[in-house]
Amino acid sequence: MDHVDVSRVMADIRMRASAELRERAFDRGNTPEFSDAKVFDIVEQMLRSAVDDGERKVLLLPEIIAGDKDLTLEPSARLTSHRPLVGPLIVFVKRRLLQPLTQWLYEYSMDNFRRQAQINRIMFAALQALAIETARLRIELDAAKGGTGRRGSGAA
Amino acid sequence: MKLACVVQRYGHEVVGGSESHCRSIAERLAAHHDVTVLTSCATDYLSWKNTYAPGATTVGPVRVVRFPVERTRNTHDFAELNNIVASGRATPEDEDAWFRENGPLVPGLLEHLKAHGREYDRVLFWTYRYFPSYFGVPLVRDRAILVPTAEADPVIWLRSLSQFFTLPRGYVFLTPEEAELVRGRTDGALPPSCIIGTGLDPVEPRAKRSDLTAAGVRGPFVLYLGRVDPNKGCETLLRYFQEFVDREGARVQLVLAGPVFMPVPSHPSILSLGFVDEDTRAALLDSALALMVPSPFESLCIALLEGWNHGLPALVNGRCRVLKGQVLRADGGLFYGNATEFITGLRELLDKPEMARQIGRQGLDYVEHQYRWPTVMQTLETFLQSPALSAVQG
Repeated sequence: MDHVDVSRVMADIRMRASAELRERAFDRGNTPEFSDAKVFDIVEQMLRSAVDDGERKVLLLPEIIAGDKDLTLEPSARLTSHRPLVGPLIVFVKRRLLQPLTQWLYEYSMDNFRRQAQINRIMFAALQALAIETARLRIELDAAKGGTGRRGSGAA
Repeated sequence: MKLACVVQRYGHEVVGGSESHCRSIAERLAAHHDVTVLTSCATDYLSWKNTYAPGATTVGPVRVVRFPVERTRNTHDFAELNNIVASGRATPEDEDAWFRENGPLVPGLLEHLKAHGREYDRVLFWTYRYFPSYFGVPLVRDRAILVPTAEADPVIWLRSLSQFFTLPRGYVFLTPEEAELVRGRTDGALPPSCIIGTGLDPVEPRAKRSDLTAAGVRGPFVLYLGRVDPNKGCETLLRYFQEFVDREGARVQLVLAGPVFMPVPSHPSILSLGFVDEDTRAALLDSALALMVPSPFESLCIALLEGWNHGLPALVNGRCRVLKGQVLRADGGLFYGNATEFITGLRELLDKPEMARQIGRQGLDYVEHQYRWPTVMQTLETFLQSPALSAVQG
């Protein structure tokens, strides 16, 4: 058999997988906008790049809200006590007695915290991609409006 | 040349990707150079408990100097620090604490580098994330060659690394994707580097083949090799494979071969063998239809290379850039980003067996050209002797 070009095979697989996904999203997902394959392709590509690149980008939204405690997940339990004398003893009891007893709940929560943090990054990346798209469209629109204006005045 | 290889654990009993890589390289370098391995006395990477005697010894052709671990890892503190790192909110103090707690804490090794580091022409460090490398590289930076084995996991985003990655005199990477990852995390230009991957010996025909039916393998099967662990993407693999069986029927069995660290569902089409010996492993690789590689994080996937060494086509997690890059460079497998693509890809491999075999052969060709030991060592030797590395040293 001749050499198999994996990129071509994958392009075909992705096309079939996308068509299947579009069918499900359109027919059973009540998203009539996906009747237009072009719309679906653009949306899918944008969301895919958010998922693929989200981990590797510096994202604006997390940077903007950084430092705001109300908007930040605090997954780790830094055990402290405000009591000056018995504080170390309280921390010791929390650490050696209470924490082992609740370890199962802690681990379960941590697992979900991690997943939530990942989902948040993907959402932030998707929002950023949408914001960039909106900004580009706005610039193009402004340029078109300006162009029309200039053309209009030139014609006059 | 007089070379030192710094690694967290070393010995015949030590199992681990970077440790095995270090040993394979050190043993081959020892054929032409004076090689000393500097390592800890530990064999267990979770506790770092001292197992070997401290001091100088010989392992195969290599001189090994072991340093005692000052204290074992506090698993609770480390879990806490891991959570902080994963949250992306680590302070410089947290980061420093993470590298210390990740261990192995071998102050004697650092003292040795301070006192004798200049006696070596090159000091090669394996894996940036462990104490000996993170705190050792700055001590001999003018001759330090880092083999980072970096993956796109949360640790790579620690802020101190952007400065740390500028320190080594040179880099030895396993894949172009790893080089790109480290380059993207480095303040300024990346020092000189080479990409070597790892070496494999050609598969030798076996006189006696293990009986796979006795192990429960029946009919055609696809294979997963390695630790059965959620961190290796096995949860996702099992879920996608069950979806495949739901849609396509029991066309093929999924055989998992490796120690199990998670619940494996009781399913008529899924067989978990646990740890398997070399003969069984070879028989599985010889008989499987395809290799499944679901890992989300890799710096180089040796299981994938092993599969190709046996002419197996692969179906890999395309969201891992290294796996996707390896597969595309070799034309040796398909990849998926979601369940639908997994199902479509596996169906493609099963429906077109001649194409699947050809893809496997292409993987083998790739290994022949890139990953045979003479090729790998030639690339490394040329790099270690290159003027770019020698320029700064006196």
